[in-house]
Amino acid sequence: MTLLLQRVALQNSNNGRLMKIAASSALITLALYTASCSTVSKNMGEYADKAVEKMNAYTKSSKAMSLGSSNLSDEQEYYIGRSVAARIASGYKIYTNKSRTRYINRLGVALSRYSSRPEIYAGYHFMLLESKELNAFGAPGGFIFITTGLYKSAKNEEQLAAILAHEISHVTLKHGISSIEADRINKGIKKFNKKVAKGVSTVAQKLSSADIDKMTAAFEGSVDDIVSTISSGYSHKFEFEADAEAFSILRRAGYAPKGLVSCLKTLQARARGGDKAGFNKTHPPAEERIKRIGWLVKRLKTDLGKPAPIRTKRYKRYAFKK
Amino acid sequence: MNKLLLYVIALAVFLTATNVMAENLDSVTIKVKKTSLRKDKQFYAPTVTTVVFGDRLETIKFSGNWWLVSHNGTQGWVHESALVGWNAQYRRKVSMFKGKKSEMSTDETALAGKGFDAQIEHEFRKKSPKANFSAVEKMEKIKITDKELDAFVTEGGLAKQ
Repeated sequence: MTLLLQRVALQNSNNGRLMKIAASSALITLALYTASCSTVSKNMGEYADKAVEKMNAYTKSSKAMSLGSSNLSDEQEYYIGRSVAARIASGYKIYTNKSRTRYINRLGVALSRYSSRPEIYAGYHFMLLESKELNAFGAPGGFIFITTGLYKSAKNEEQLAAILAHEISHVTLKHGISSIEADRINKGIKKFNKKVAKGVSTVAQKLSSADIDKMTAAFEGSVDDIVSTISSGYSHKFEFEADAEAFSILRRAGYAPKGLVSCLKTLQARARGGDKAGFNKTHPPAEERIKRIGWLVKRLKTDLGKPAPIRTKRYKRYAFKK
Repeated sequence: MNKLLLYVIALAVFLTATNVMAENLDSVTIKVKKTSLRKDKQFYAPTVTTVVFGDRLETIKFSGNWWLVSHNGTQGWVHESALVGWNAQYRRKVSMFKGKKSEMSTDETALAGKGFDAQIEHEFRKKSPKANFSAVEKMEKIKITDKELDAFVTEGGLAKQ
């Protein structure tokens, strides 16, 4: 028993020395980690930095693409959005008054800063479309349109802000992008990304014409999906989500959410008068939306507020003459 | 032999730790075309420097949705929606999107960019001659400056954040 204990003690003694060596090495490592020895880390990291970074980005890219449209990058969303916007714009005459166009851009960009996604790839942009229709469209990538008909229906800046905030919300919540069929991304891009994931060098290679055709087909299909959804209307769920986000944007900015309810009442009145086009065609009934905003007001223990006279005065400078 | 092995393991741990520091610990990347690093954590604070897509920034701290970062020695605040990356020090994923499954991997793909890009748009335009890209170009040319926005918000009695 004593011999056994002595043997164990000896082993422990040797192990103890080894453990001390391991512990001191770990402590040195930990000390360096804690002290943030940036000079050493930079020198050591930079050797593999660029190549590893690119490899990781593209490898992860291929995995992400296989997961569907919700994982498109900001830059890709921007390119899809440009094409969606171009298709929307082709159906209308562009309104060219610079003063009103600049006004809605100032208002829209200011509102976007209170959203959950104030920074997007190339920023938010707004344009008026000449049409009596009461309608507005938010394309991915931040391209937002409003018809002159809908602009004129707003009685003050609060209401106009509510319209733009609702469309900004469709963009921040990626409603357009989520209408792309997942298969389009998977079929179009998966094969290419598999090649890329094999090695950094393939990144520099040009796409084959077959790859380009596949990607273009996927791109075109994606644009079709989004335009079709925007034209026929988002789901009621998405519309209610956009109203809730718009409510939040308006409150954070300092606008009275009453503007949102007032707009909906205008649409409600137009629908009762037989106008089933535009917003009334593509959105849930205004009554339901007004009810839900009422629930939000109760839940947040707030009120709808009133349009600020100073902003109404500003709006009148840019209102259409009757 | 055991001693040698242990020294090798310790060295490997040391090299890995320092490599982790360089790669992941203190950096995020810009995923928008261009943005400002600001003096304070709000959009109405003055710009201290401009950064562009792909710029890597060293992170110093975060507060709410804003990050204090450093770029080429200049410090400034930037909103997290302009950033992509995983900050190991704060164990915080910097993603563009709250509460959605896209958080999972969009961060990593943000810089990949390959797929839907200018080249593919060019091919799409050949197939869609009626699409009004000149309207889109006009939209993008309208640039609202920080000064204009500041004046707009001030005149309208709106919140500055």
